[in-house]
Amino acid sequence: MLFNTPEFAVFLLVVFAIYWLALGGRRRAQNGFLLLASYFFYACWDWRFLSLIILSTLVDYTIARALAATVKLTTRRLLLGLSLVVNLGILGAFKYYNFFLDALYSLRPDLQTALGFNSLDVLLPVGISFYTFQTLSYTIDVYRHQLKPSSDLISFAAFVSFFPQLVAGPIERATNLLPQFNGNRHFDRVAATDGLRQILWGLVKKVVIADTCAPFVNEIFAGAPDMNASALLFGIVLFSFQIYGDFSGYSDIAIGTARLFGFNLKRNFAFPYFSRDVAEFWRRWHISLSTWFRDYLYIPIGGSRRGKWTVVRNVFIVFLVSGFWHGANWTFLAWGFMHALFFLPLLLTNSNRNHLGIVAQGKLLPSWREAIAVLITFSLVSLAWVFFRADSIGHAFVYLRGLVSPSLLAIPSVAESKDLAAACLLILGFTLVEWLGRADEYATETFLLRYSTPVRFAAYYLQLCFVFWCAGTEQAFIYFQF
Amino acid sequence: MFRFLVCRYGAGLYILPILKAFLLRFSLFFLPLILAGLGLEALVRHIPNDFQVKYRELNRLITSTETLILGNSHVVYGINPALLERPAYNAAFVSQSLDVDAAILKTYLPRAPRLRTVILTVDYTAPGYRLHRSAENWRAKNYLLYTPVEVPHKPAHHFEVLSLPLPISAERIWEYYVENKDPDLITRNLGFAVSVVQGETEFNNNGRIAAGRHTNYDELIRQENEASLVKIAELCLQANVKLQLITLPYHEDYMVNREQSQVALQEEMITNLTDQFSNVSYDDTAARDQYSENNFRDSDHLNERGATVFTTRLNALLRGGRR
Repeated sequence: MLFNTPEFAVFLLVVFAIYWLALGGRRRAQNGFLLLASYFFYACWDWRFLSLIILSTLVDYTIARALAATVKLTTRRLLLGLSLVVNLGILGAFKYYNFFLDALYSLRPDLQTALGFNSLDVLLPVGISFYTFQTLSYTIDVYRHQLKPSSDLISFAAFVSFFPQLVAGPIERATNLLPQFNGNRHFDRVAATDGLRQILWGLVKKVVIADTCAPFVNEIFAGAPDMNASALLFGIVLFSFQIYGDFSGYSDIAIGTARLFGFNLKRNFAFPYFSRDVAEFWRRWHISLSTWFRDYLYIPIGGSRRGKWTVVRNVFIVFLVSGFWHGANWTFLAWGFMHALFFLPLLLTNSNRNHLGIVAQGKLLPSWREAIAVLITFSLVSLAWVFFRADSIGHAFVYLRGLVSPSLLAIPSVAESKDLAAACLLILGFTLVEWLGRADEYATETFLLRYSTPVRFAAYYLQLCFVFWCAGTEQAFIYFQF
Repeated sequence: MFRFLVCRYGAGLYILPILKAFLLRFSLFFLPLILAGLGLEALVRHIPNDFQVKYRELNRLITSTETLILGNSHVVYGINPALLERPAYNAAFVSQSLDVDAAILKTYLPRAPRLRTVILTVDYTAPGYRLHRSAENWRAKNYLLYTPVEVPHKPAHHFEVLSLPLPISAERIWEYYVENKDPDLITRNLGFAVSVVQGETEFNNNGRIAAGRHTNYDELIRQENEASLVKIAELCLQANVKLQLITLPYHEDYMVNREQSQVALQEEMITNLTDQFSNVSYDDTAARDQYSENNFRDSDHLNERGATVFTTRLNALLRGGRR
């Protein structure tokens, strides 16, 4: 059940109505109902993989309670290790087994007959990387005494499987979300209206921007060897907007949906393409994942404290693992490697925290210096996206080689160039709205509230018209595959 | 108990006015959109389409039909029932998969007292194509909205405007109501279809593209399609109807671009069924050497002339095939 389908709209309406009208004020019943709704939501993808979520939930619930019951360090370490083995074991088996086996056999072909292990023909359970990291952070927080273990299995299971963010995040911390399941919730009209506004903007990002870019990106990347350089350049830019619209659109819908039920999820995107350097980009892109890696990987392995070479090593570890988290393919590792290369100079020269506020704060336009910095950052990030989108490293190099050509100034060799022009106009309009609303949580949060009701409603209807006009051919969210 | 009720309903009553106001505003906001959507839906449904025409005729003729033809676009363009010796109807359609064929048979068999033969093609697409699992799944709305046939579908398929991108519906409305243009229907007499696309046909590239599009073997779908075939054969057996499996002719360019492993699976599906059921027979009716380029609309579809040649030859097979 995709967020951008009529089926989800009906599901949301029914769950919302039962949650507030029939169960309002009854926290435990609301949690139980949310758990059932979330399991139903997940079962719509593939009911067989529900067992994995249930297993992960039970393991971490039990281990966390056992952790709280003992002070013995060895036992605590063993329990934490058990949680890591189970969670990462499931993730590894489904996501990385074939990759490692293929890598091993390509290095040592003789082992194929000696070991006798074959590749597994298994589907990747949707959202497995997201909920695994969520439950892992819970156990680690309990191990570190930063959180008391939950004594309510239903609340905890609802926290793990909460349907708005189950399949593609934001990856919530138990410290933020679990207390919300344990507290009473009252319907807040302002929050719910704001949630609806954020859902609408998320739909615009997904359906109007990402799905409009998708056919061009598919065509250009598939036919990269035959495309002229200008088409390849357009392909990179369009993919940058596709992945941003797709993933941040999903996050907006997830956060907005959660608000309808009285929950506040963490912000996941903060206008990353207006960043002035790559360090700022990583504070604004997929925030829930980058902070997860900071807190549970980068800092535990030493962070920036133990000398230059340790810093270099740690940065590479974090970015490579982050790339690998996205998928079992060398292309994701290359993507992570590139970002490590972009990030490291900033860290080593202590320039990684130069830009903590928003660009051109309080001004309509940026300075020349800011504009150039934003453009350079966008170019670097977009260049790395080529590896993220390509089928293989070879494919990425073919793509990049094709860019070095005099045809960079020619008309792009795509099938529907008129539609390409329309897509570019949409992107320009979208970027303008994002720029105007960059001081807020999401672009249309307060931007429209300055205007009178008729103007505001006209803007909402306009967004809806765009969504309905561009909807129809369902495109799955890119991050569902991770 | 009393305290519990007070807490329970007390909290409920507390939130109710705020929630009511929210729901009211929400409903008012969406009301114009819902009304516009319903208006568009009514307008689109009023435009004549192939399924309305085809199934109106089928409903009228089913009681006298002796031969029912099922299958996909290869069949709907390839067999002209008017040329068959016994009363026949072509219930095949573009992108129609075997599960839909089974659903049509299940719906119409009880209404067809004179039915003696069902003609069905198990072609190259059989091991990997099923309507509701394909990008063509939007076509399910045609069966749901305009026929009594129940096919697997999504809730959105109960509406024209939710099944297809809005620009397509808007274009249909514009052409029919504003420009007064009649829609391009392919359905002709007795369910037979003639392509509305005219002109020269380029075979070379078309065969490679079409075969590539049809090369999509999927084990799950193959198993499901085998089950549908068994269902069709069982339905026919129970009604004492012969199931005649056939092969249509394709252009050489399509034939050579097929994946041989998928061809083998297709043949295996046919053999499994004929071995299992006494009322099922298969004849390779393609006789490809007897068709020239003039008989094809494109690499995998016969044109009207080709359909005449093929149907005439089919007559000979059916003459000896009635049980």
